[in-house]
Amino acid sequence: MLLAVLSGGPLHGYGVTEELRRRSGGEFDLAEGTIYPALHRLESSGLLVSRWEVVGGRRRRVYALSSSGQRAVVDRRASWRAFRCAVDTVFGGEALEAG
Amino acid sequence: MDTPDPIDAYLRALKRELRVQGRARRRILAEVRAHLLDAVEAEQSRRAEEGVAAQRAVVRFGLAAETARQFNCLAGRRRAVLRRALVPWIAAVALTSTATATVWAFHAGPAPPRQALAHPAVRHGCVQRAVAFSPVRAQRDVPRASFPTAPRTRAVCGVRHANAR
Repeated sequence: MLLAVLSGGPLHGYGVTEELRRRSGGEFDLAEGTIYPALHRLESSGLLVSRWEVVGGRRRRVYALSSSGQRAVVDRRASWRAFRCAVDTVFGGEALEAG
Repeated sequence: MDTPDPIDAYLRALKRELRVQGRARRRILAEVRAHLLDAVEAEQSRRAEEGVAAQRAVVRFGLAAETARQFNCLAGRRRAVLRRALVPWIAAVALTSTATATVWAFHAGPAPPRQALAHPAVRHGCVQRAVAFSPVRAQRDVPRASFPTAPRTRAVCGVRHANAR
């Protein structure tokens, strides 16, 4: 999800949490501290790159997708679609049985 | 911008709990601080007072101990990966060094003659004296004609020569 949020463009940590909340319509209201270890882990894996930038007079660490991160977003979107399709089919089947 | 008190307290707690050192530690603390200040600004833009805004920002960020635990886990995993990568290298370097030292030992020159090894200084374990009588000193003090051999042999024979005098 963090990769998908960053596919819209580079963001700093607070921006990532805000965008995640906005895109999910407030469903993903996580403890904000949990996203930083995740961002660091994705950076260690080479899916993200980051650098310090001064935004609004304050230094912020800005994260962006690396080229392998962009490929990972495409792959994960495809596998999520396949998974969602399968789940929809299963639930659709249950709904049919219940009906 | 001054750091409001709840944020200061939070950062102190995080510092206490973090088991990450150096640049990574400074980076984590700077990122968390910037995030909390952003959150305070956002709360203030929704008309919250500064103290309340800071308190809300801290609550939304989650417990310092939990945040630190996640960073500590990540650092632990990195250290483990580094160890796994380094151990074979260290073993390879140690093995190569041992092999090289062994080869050098066998190619250092001919063994001293039997009569030199039979000298009392050597037999009675006066190793320090034999070592002190280095090949350089042997070259200088022991007449070359007396011991027309390699410097190492001359050093051992030199012990005998010096004791005889």
